[in-house]
Amino acid sequence: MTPQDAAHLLRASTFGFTAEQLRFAVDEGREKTLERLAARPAAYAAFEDEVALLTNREASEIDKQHLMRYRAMHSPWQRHDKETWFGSVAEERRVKTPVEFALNLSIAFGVQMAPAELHGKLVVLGQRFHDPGRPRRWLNGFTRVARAKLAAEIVGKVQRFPDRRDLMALLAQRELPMRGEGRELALAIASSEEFQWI
Amino acid sequence: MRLVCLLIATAIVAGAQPSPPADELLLDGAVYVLQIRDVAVLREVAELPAMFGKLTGGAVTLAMYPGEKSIVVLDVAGNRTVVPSRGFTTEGPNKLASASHYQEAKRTAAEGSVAWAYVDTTLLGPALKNADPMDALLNGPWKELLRGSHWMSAALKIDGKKLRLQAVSDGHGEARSVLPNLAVPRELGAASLWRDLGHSALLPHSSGGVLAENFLEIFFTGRNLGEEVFGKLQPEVRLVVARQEWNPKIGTPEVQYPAAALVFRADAGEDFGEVMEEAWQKAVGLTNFTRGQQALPGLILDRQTYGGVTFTYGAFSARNEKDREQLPVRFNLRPAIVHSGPYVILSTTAELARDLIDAVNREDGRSPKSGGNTVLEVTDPAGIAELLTVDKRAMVRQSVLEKGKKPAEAAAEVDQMIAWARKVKRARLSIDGCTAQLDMELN
Repeated sequence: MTPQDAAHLLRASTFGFTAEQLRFAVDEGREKTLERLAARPAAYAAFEDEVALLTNREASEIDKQHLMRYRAMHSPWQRHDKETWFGSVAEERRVKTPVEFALNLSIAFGVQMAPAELHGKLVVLGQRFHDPGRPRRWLNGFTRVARAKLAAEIVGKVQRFPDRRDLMALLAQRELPMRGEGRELALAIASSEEFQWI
Repeated sequence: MRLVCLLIATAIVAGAQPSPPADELLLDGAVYVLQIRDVAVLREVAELPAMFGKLTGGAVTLAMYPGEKSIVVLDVAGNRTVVPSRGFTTEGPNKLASASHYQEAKRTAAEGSVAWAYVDTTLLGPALKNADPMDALLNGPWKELLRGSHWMSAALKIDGKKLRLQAVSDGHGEARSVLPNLAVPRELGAASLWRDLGHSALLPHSSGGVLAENFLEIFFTGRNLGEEVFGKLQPEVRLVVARQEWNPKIGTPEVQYPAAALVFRADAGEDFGEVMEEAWQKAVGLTNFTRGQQALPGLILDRQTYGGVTFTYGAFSARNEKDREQLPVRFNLRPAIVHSGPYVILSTTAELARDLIDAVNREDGRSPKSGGNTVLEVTDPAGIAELLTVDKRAMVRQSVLEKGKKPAEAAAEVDQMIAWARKVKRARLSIDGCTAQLDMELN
């Protein structure tokens, strides 16, 4: 499996992945990666306990959304949580949802974001809770500007960037004709048409 | 506040040692330079950033440099370029010790102090801005004093388990006087302040501040907030925080907050008391209306008489609550307003309002005032530790979901706060003009 194939597979099955996770999937191969992503990991029970401790009996709708974003950020079984979130439209989606857009970047670069911090930013991008939404709401002239702004905010917090080749593999579907490296390249890819799609 | 936290924590660290070995403590504005001989103390100091992060809500980084004495740099304001830009070094001709302000500050150090700190207050900048009205109320005067100063010097004295930290600044503070703190049962802490609210900028210059001002103008029926509302309050303000006692007939909330109350004295108390009562009832009514829109239960208003005073309070009905051991958080709140003679009491619970009626009834109007603009006392740190323990889960949840901390990291921070609270027996901070004194007794 090429790094591009592995990245595509991980992009479709998770909310975001790191360079290490990408390398692991390339080494593991397509079949084993698919099996691993579909299987319930042993750590998932402990994660559920952790989420239960974070659950508030008096949770408001916004509290529930924070918790859902926490799951998306930290779940060891991302494929399962992603399917739970997007339900039946998961398969037909081609456009990255706002939450995928944000987490693709923040997880890839190890940027810590609080679930509450993301709330307002994702609402502006058209993400609605318990509603998988439709691509036209996620991607239009207004949300493209807001996506670029959010990307700049996340990329601005990155301490250390991978080299050009790893960065391309992490964020892009293929080698893009873009110059530069580090922050400049990450921002250019995040703002590109290509990055808006799964 | 950040500075106070730093000094308190440094004092605790130094005081925790059997024979304090810190021989010189230098603080340079936002970047704090500490020179410490003893490696054991150094290790304790290295624990401080995580705690400061929790206390101050800001990032604190730490770097260590080897040398004859170990030197630690705590970058509290997150501005690591401060030291190079000032051109100070720890050795050589440009060393900080040669600066005139430094020498002036050094002369104020008390005899027999085990540690001494110097702060270039011109570099504190953003740390001296008031974050919100409560910050302005509690910390306004000393922040204002430091904004107009060049330096602050702090000396630490230790006598067994008693610590005294005395800070002096070259700022110009006016002589004020405060009333004695009010004592109530189950008290956790109290503060007595001199604050001229009629002339203070309590509300921030932001959209939130403008909104708050609009609401206050509605609550106070269009009165001029400066002259006809805050200006009517005498500058002696007292704050009391106490543990709550849960009524077994109602139950115990899962997350427990302490009760808190502000006690004012007003000119033309009887007339102004009614103005406050009207505003308070409008605020409660609006809250009830908004909660009703969200299908949430509202406060039921009632009146009761205690100690010869009839006052208004609100309470949530527990009639339909099944789990009385884990009531919703709203049951921490039974807000009350009391106006009696010159006193106006705004309390989060009717029970604390009753205790305060007893406390103000004990005052005869000739209460001796003491010099200063702030007296803050922590009377029951063990009680604070107990509350933190009860609320640990809620605090971890808030830290994880709102600040992005990992659960284990957030839990460790709460445990650290509990441990610090248990270390302290009592503490008293008094600020008078350009001098501040913190007295602390450790367990």
